[in-house]
This record gives sequence, C-alpha cells and structure tokens, in this order.
Amino acid sequence: MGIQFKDVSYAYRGFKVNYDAIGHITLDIKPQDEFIAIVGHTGSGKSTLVQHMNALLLPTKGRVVVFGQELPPKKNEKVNYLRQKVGLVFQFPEYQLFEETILKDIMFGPKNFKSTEEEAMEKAKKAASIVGIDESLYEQSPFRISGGQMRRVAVAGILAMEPEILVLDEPTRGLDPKGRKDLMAIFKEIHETEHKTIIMITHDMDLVSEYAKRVIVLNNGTLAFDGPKELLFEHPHFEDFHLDMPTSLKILKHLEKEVGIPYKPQYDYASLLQYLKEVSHE
Amino acid sequence: MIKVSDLSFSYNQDDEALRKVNVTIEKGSWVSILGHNGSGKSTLSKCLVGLLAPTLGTIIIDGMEMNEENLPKIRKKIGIVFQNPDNQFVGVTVKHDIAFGLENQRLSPEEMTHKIMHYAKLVGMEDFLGKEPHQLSGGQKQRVAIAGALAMEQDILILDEATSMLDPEGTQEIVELIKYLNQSLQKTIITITHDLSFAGLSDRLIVLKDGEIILEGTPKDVFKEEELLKSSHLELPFGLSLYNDLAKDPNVDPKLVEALWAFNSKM
Repeated sequence: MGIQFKDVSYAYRGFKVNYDAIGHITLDIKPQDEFIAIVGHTGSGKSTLVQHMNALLLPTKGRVVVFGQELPPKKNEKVNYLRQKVGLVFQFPEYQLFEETILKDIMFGPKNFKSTEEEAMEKAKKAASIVGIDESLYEQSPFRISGGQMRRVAVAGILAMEPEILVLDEPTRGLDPKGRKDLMAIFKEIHETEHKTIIMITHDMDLVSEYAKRVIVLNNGTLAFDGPKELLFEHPHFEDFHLDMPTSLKILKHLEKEVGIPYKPQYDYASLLQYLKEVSHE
Repeated sequence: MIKVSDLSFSYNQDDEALRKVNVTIEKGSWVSILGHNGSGKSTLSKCLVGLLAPTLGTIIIDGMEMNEENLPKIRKKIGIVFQNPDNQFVGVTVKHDIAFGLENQRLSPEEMTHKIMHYAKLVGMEDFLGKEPHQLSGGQKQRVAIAGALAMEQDILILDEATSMLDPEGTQEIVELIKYLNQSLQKTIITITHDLSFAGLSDRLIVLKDGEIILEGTPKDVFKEEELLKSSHLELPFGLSLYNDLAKDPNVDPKLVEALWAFNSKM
C-alpha cells in the first residue's frame, strides 16, 4: 500500500508544444512512519510530482498506484476518495479559507466526504486542538486572526479529513521563525504519535536536516537522489545537486576549520548542542 | 541623520500603534527595526517616508522637519521598497520600471537612457532591461524596485520586509545588494524585518513591541536578550540560539563560542 510511482512522466500541454514537467519517476512511499522532504529548484517539478499523489494530476506516461488503486488515464469521479486518503496542503493555504467561522471552515472537508454534521464537527474540533486553535476562536471569522493562526486553521481543515498521508507544499513559507517552529512541531507530533507518513516540499535545508528522514531531490523533472538524508548530505558529489548545506553542518565545518573540533555530522539542534558540549568538556 | 522624537501614531482612538518612540539614525549606517506582526514597525516606516502623519511628536530628516511644506524635499532624500515584489512593479519592462520615477524630471532622452543603464548596472540587472515582470524571479523584481529607488538618488533607503517573500537564493541576492549599497555607496539603510539572522548584519537594531521600543543596540547586545526577544515573538535563528546556549555554559571553550559568533556574523 502507500504510494507507488512506476516510470511516471507528466507533460503540460502548451498551445503548440508540450513540455515535460517530470520524467521517468519511480518511487515507493510507505503508508506509515516516513518523513520525506522533496527538494529542488523552482521549476524542478516538485509541485507536479505531489499533485499525482492525490490524483489532482494524472500521469501522461507510467503508473501511479495510491493505496492499491491505480490512477486512471482520464479524470473520473472515482478517484475523489483518494483526496481524503492523501491530504494535500497547498502553498499559502490560508488564501483558501472562505467560511464565516473558523470551525465551519475546518468542517468543510469532512462534510464533503460524507460525514454527518455531528461527525464533521467532532473531527474539526479534534483537528483544531492538534494545531493549537483554542475553543474560544471557533466562532470567530478566519480572516480576523494572525497569519500564523490562519495557516494552522487551513492545516486543520486537511487534518479533519483524517488523511492517512499528509503532503505539505512549502508549509512554512512566509511565516516568521516563531510561526515556522510552532508549525513544524505540530507535524513532528503528528508523525511521532500517529505514525503518519509526512511528505514535505521545502527550500529550507534546515528543516530537511532537523525533521526529514528521507530526501527526494528533483532536478529538471528527474529524480536526482532518493535516500536517507545522512547519505544526501555526505554524498561525495553533493555540490552537483546545487543545494544549500544545512546550518548545523555548516557550523560543524566552520568549527573544524577554525578551532579544530572533529567534524561529526549532527542533524538536529539538540544533538548538535550536546555534541559541542561534549567535545569541549573533554 | 534622522531624528525621531516622542513619535506617537494612532489608526483609531482606542489603539496606539506607536507610543513615544525616540530614534536617531546616523548618516551612512544600517539600522534594522525588528518586531512581530502588529508591533508598529511598518507604521514607523510609513511615518518616516511621510505616508502617514504622526499623531504626536516630530521627525527631522537632515535638519528638515517632516511637514507638508518640507515633504517634497524630504521625499527626495528617502525612498522605500515594500515586501511584495509583484505589487510595486509598475512598468511594462524592467527599463520602463526603472524609468518610472525619472519621467517627470525633464531629462533628455540621452540622459534618461544613460541613467537607466547606470542604475540597472548597479543592481546587476543590465542584461534584463527588455524583460517583463513575469520573466523575472522575485529577487530580480526586488532588485529592479531598488534600482528605481536608487534612480531617485535618495540617500536613505527603507526596505520593508523586502526579503520575506523570496526564496533563499533571492534573499541572498538582496542581502549582498544591501551590503553594497551601504558600504560602497554610503547609503543609509533601514531594514524592517522579523528575521533576526538578516537583522544581525546591520550596525544597530531597534526592537519594537506593541508600539514601544523595548531593546536597542548592536546585534551582539540585543541577541543576548533571548527571553525579552521571545516575549516579543521573535525567535533567534539556529546559529544564534546555539551561540547563546553555549555561551551560557562555563565549561565550553570560549574560543569555540567566539568562532561560532564569527560564523553567525558572516551569514
């Protein structure tokens, strides 16, 4: 189960020419316990790739199988239920808020997937509590809260559909550092307690280093790397991927050069702090 | 020099967006104004360029008090670049956009062409003069906006969250350009931001919370006040937070701590 891509290509149809957004992608994503970062330059095909995961796009060539169901070659109604299985949070999802109250907005998803009013409300309340939206805000307009809160309401709208896999397209873009940290803590919590697979598009290598387990690198629509983050950042030809190093590793390289601290990769803040304390206590 | 004395501003009667703000900004310096959303930082920048008139207090720019009479002269000294690159691109092409502010200055066509080329070169956009906005990246659009401001030959440039909608590459482009404007062209730079790693590159920081200044000083001094910054919803970036955590531990080699500071200041 989970999501499988078998030699998948997708071409956008232009007026005169078609252009390939992704080509010959083969992937296997497990339904649980994965935390995957998808990275690559603007225009490398990241958004095109993830839109296949819940059948918003259908492959031009190759096969995509989502929870055992192969995507059909043409759009048909039957794939809609996959959007409940694989929840996709778009970039700047707060632009899509529209209801009169926050609670109604979060209920919109589950109601569309045939939950009764009571069920939808229960799911919405649960989702709101996961993202830290307080009960006192339920009846407020989603347009009268801060940008960070709006983003969390939009995420709750997807969580309320109880998807098995969560796909996030640049979830922290435009948030301030505090908002970024708070939101990532929510995804980490969901991943750790519910074992949900999380797939996240990002440009931020610090987020990749701190949270992801596996990294998929796209370059001009093709798969340039797919594997554990440790292997990516220690890759002998890392510079060929044209990616930035995470700050943690940049700091370690700087400290090795300047004060001779042995370079030993540490990927998250807590382990880097601990390592630096240890080496300097010796 | 900019001197702001006892500046207050209210959008409505019950709520003061700025309360008795006093700021002095030296000529040729780079100052960052930091604060969370709603702290008053953008209100302050709008007062500085005369887009908003203060409720109380005075603003003096190069010896001229901000008032209706002086405003045209002050506008020649101080320019602003906003957050969203798409909302401030007014020309059809890069060339027309840079030309926009020059159009009512009675320049001959030769002078005009010369000036456009000159400012396009300063921001590294000379090869893009015929391009339309949709053919440019966010960072490139912001560089064009900066060229437009430079073409007005203003000495003071305010950048209001000018990097917050850009990707890391675009941000880096603008950071390099700001350094150049400040160091090589001696422009006075005021950056409005909630990004502490970006602010850390400037000479001096001013932190606003709920319309009041709560901290002021060099980046090194301000970043020590982690608790106060947190209470203002400002989060230290990775490297600075690590610096503080290690500096607190007496067992950690001071040389390591210093090396980490050096890392943070080069960005």
